[in-house]
Amino acid sequence: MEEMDKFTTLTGVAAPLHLVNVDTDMIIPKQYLKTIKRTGLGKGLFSELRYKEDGSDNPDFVLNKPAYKGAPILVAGDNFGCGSSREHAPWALLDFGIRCVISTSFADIFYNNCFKNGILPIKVTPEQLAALFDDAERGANARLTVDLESQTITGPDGGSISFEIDPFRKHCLLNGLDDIGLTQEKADAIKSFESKLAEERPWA
Amino acid sequence: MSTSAPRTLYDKIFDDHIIDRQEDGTCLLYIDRHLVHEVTSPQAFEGLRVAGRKVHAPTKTLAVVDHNVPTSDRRFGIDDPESRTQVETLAENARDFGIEYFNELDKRQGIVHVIGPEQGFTLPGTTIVCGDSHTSTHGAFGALAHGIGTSEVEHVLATQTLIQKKSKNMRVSVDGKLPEGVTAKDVTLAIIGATGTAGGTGYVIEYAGEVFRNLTMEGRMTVCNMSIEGGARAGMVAPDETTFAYVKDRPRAPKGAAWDAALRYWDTLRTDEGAFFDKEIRLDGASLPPIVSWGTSPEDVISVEGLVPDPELIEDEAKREAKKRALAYMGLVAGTRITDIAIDKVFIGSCTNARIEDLRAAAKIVAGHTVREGVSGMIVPGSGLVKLQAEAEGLDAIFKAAGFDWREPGCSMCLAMNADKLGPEERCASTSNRNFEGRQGYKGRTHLVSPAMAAAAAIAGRFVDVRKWPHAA
Repeated sequence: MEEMDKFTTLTGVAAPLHLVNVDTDMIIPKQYLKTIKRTGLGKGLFSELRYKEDGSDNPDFVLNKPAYKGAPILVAGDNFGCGSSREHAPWALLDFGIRCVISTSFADIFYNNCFKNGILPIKVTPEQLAALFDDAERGANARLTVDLESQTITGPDGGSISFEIDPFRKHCLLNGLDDIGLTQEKADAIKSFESKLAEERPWA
Repeated sequence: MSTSAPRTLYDKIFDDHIIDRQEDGTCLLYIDRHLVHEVTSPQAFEGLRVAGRKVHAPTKTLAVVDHNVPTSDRRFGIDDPESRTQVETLAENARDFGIEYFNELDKRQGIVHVIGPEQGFTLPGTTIVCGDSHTSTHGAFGALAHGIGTSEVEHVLATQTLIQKKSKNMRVSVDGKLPEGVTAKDVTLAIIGATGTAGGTGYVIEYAGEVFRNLTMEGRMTVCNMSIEGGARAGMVAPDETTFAYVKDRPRAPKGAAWDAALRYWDTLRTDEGAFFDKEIRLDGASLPPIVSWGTSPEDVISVEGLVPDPELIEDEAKREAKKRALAYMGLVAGTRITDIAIDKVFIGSCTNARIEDLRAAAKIVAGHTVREGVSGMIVPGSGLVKLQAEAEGLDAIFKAAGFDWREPGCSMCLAMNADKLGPEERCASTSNRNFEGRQGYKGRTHLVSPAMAAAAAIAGRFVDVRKWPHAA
């Protein structure tokens, strides 16, 4: 089993993506879903925004701007990652080099999928998001530091905001733990549940 | 779990599947049913192989190809090499791990959310997952059903469990009698219009009230299917006589004494009087019109009698910009009458609306008419069995005589992974579930509607109010 990447701290430029309801079709369009691998999906990340029709880079798209090349943090509008359950979305972000996404809210399945891949999705308030957008607009002059242990984002001017995160998810992300391995430690409990099930609801 | 506090339907099913609960509320939940398709499973099986793990409960797992298969004649194989590889990979994984598999030539093959119910694999009171967001469909049976990512697919394959925290409870009540020509699809679009695309985030929805009680199972599936478009983890309807009659005698439904025992349990699956809901939404069914989406989010909906809304009237800046962008993408001008919007293509299909009743509703509109010149219409049945049933009823003949293309089952142009797609700026009346940018093809423009509305649009070449359609009963 591949160990999941740990997430502890991350410092870097944050790219501002001023869109709400960014869906997973937008993050990784369907033509990239034909793969049987998890790797190499970075080329398809936001492809309909990132490339022009002739295949060349669209210079207007934020991730193509020189200031944001290699940005490991993405700041985006409300309800990020809605729509399809495709885990290709976090795989594409990861392969492209993005390890942290900050928004006011995330769609449920995408949010889950991030944690399985060592990506930290951070929920902030609308006011905090506006401030982070301002920081991000300053490009390479404004680096953010995300510290999972202390649950803080520190801005370029030293100000910091704290964020909430589920303790179990935090623990797994900090230590790069494999969920399946953890669950298999509960094999006896699963077995006894199955015996009870066979008796009480045998049709299931 | 013994508790005297009144519980919701969701509470009950969740409680009955808890294997282990940690102090912070994180639960290990037992999964009764796992549906698998070719697009979101290869990496999960690969993970099992690398770690030397087996599938924990192969008989609780059912695999089918749907997303990536062509809807043209498949007897001579699949041309697209990547699609072919994905399909062959699922066949190989199903064989190697001992999972029942419906291949692209099996008459039981179809969209994963159509075949589960059809086979009686979907049962009330069960937990059902699939690496597909529209797994919420199965909630129509009073099951707890939701989509998962590929890592979770691997987790379920390996352990038959999922690590879950409980969601909040939300109840959507729609009372009254739906007007003629207003369908389950219009109800679900109206709900998403009211709650917004993130309105359900963090919740499991229970659909309650007269409208859902009176809906057929297929109508309930249409509603639960789109719960995810409102952001909800799952949507469900309490099982009743309609549910039991649908499930009875299906190939994988319990039989004999097992059926009787199952019924006794299923009969307990309803929300207790006084149970707490964190959020309540109410709509009046009797005043709902046929609905058409105008933008690029399923929340962008309006009555067929309405006008394309003006984004400049929206106060919130981010939202205003999003809706302006949507109108530009859709090539629409605010104030345009919905019934003045001309279309190029019609797609009747998808896990939302490709069941036999959907095809009957479309055929009823189409009978005696022809598809408008310049419009191309495609009908993609939800499964091989739906297709056979439709052909036995002569529906295919009605569609073909009208000029529709009658296809093989699959997901098709709902997500356009196969050859069925919109060209840039082509406008489509679609019975599917997502109108996102590029969803049905690069720069394609999707309007979400009911099967009857899509059929009428194909004939008229623009949107029309099916309540005024001459042949509507």
